[in-house]
Formats: sequence, structure tokens, C-alpha cells
Amino acid sequence: MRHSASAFLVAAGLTCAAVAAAAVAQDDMVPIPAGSYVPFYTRESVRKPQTATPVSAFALDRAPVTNAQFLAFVQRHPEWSRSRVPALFADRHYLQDWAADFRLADARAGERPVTDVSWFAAQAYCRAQGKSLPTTDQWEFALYDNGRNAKAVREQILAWYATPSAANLPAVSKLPINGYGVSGLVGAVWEWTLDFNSMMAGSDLRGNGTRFCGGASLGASDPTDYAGFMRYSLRASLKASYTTENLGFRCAL
Amino acid sequence: MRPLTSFAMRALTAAILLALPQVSFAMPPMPGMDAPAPRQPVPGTSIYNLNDVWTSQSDTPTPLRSLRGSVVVAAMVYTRCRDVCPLTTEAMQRIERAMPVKKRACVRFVLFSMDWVADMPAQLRAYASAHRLSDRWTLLHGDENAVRGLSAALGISLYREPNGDYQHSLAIFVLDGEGRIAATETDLLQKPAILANKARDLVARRCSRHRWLP
Repeated sequence: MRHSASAFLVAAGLTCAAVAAAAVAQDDMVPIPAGSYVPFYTRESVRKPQTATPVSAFALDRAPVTNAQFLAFVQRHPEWSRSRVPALFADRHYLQDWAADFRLADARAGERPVTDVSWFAAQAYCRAQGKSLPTTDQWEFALYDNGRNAKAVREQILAWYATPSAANLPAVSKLPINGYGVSGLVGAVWEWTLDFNSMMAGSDLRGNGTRFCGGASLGASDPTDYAGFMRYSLRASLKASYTTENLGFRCAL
Repeated sequence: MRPLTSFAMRALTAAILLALPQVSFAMPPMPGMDAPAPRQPVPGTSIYNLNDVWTSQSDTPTPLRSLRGSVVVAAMVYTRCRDVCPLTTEAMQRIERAMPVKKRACVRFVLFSMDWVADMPAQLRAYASAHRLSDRWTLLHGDENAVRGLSAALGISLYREPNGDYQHSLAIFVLDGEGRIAATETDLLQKPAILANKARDLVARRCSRHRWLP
């Protein structure tokens, strides 16, 4: 492996910052107490629409994983670097905004949410921390925020969708914080969930043949929740190797 | 660390390849293992990039990559499933029967269980026996991470219901010797000859020498 000296110094500097961030990772999680919520989309064979889904207590990363944190992971696990990751695990846009395998675009990028990461890469990162991606239920339950400010959250989401992507994502410290103390669930990047592929999309659903696109409105707990529809249909459209500039992640425990 | 020069690498590879026949004569393949796999990295799109170790119906630890070298007809199922999983299994058996006998011996039929809780090896043995699966079949138990990784890699939708049932999509795959998806069938009523022909075409002529020993 060869780096220019300056690149090496930049990378080393970012590593130090990232290691410091990793060391407090556990403190950077927020406990989410057990409860229940009504998912936007209910799986009909399990429960009827409008029934609550129980969620056990868990802990969720306070903020989306940053570029600096992900760089520290890639340096410890170079098989996840841009030039070495197998096509099975990430498409060719993987980490495309980085300057090189082990170098971010610039120093400020370290504080921004990492994007252009695949599900495989996100889950590998979380497992390396002894964590996992949150399930869709966990993620949605955290967003539900015990019912606090539901209308405001929905408006915030729609406003976000309506805004063209900013050239640069905000630093994670600038993201809005919800009632649990979790920041940036919406407003900056979409996030992977462990079971993003749990919704049957396409023609090969087993059972009664309800398909997401056509049948969703029947199963939707609130057909006026366009923001919810957007989230669920986005997840259903993903493949595990996809990477995009507005899709990041955080981990759960 | 300085990487081996490509010359040294080639010399090493050649030495290993030359050593292989002796090795395979000296040591019969271990259960669940193929003839020694080549040392080269698997192709980028190969599902053998997943490094999970599954457990076979005979309790043998089975790294996914140990399937390398065989043409594999595979699906994800679970044994409590009462409708489409038995149909999937039967469709794979029709593929097996549709293959020429000589080539059939060189294809492995693999069922990956998506039920990481209930489908322990004994349960898989019972399923194999109930469905009269031939000795070319391997049924594999994996942990949640292995199952989620494989379903993600194969593009199979998966939802574990609170009662332990699964909602899942369906497909039968033909994998080439390097673990790349060579063909996919999502229609269980499709003629078995289509996938059988695909598997047959992938099987090398010399397959009888490398036949898999259960």
C-alpha cells in the first residue's frame, strides 16, 4: 500500500479523531424504552391494520454513523475499502465521495453522516462494534418518538423530501434531536434497517398475493401518511449492495 | 507488508495445483467438503464472499465457500413452512430428475434454512428423510446473521413473524462452481428442464472425477 506522505498524515489525523469517537460509542447510544407503535404498513397475515406492534427496549446510536467513524472501521477492516470490497457487497458507487480508499474528501467530511454505503457494509460496521443495524420496527419506533410532535415530524419529513439535496450534508451535531435524544432520524439521510428486505415487493409474494405497490393502501395504517409511504417504499426498492448519496445508517444494540 | 510478486504467486499456485492430486488421493474428501478448492479469491459477485459457516443436516460445519467447485441448485426454505417450501423442494427434485444421470452426480442440491431458531440439524435430517432427498442434497442451518446475509445476497425478501413463521419470496438458483448466480427461477411451475439444462451446461466434462461424496 502506498500513500503520499500528506495523505497519510491526513488519514492518521482523521483516524485519531475516529478512534476517540469509537471509544465513546456506547455512551453515544440512547436507551429506547419498550413500547408499541402502529407501523405505517402492517403485515396482514400477522395483525390487522391499526393494531400496535410491540417493540422491546433497545439502545440506538444517538446520531448517524459519520465518515470519520466509518473510515476508522475501513482502516481496521481494509476488506471494506473501496477498491477491495467485492461487487456482491457494494455497487460501484460505494464511498464514491471519498478521496481514496483510506482518505476522506476533506476534514469537514468526517463530521458528516457517511453515505454511499451498502447494507452489507453498514451491517459489517455495526457487527464490528458488537451491534447490529436496527430492525425496521426499532427504527420506526424511535422515529415515532412515543407520539411526541407527530404532526411536526411528518411535516418536517415532507419538507425534507420536497427540498433538493444540499451539496453537503450537515454535520451530525447539527441535526435535530427528538424526544428520546436521538438525532437526525430524518432530515439529512435515509437509513438502512436490518430487515429492509422484509417487505414483499414484486410478483413472488407467497400467501394472499398482496403486493406492496398495489396493495399497500389496504394495509396502511394511515393512508394519508405520505411520508410513511415514502419510507416503506424506499426500503422495498433497495437491494443490499445499493449505495446512494442520501442513504446512511446507525446501529442498535 | 510487501505482497508476493506475481511471479512468486504464480509459482506458489502452480506448486499447490501440482500437489492437489496427491493430496486428494491421500486424503478422501471430508464429509460436506468438496475436492480442494483453488486458492484464488472468489469472483466479486460470488455469494462465497459471505464467510459464514453453516451446519449441515449431519452436524458438519459447512463454510459457504466449501460449496465452491460444485454446480449448486439452491433455495431458501424452512421446515415448518407448509405450502411453498415443500413445493420448492419438489421443484428442485424435478430438476434433479430432469438431469442426465451422469451429470446429476456432479450437482449439489442445497436447501438453506431461513429459520435460524427451529431448523437445527436434527430437524433438517427429518425434513430430508420425509422428502426422500437423495444423498446429493445438503440442508444447512445458519445463524441469523448468516441467513440475513444470504437472503440479502440472493435478493430474497424475508420477514420473521412473531410466531416463528416467515413471509418470504421464492426462488430457485443455479450457482456456478464459483458461486455466481447463473440462473434464477421464481415460477415453481416452470418446466424443470430449464434450470436442469442450465445446471447440466455448467457441469464440466470431467465432473465424474470430482464427484461430490456425501
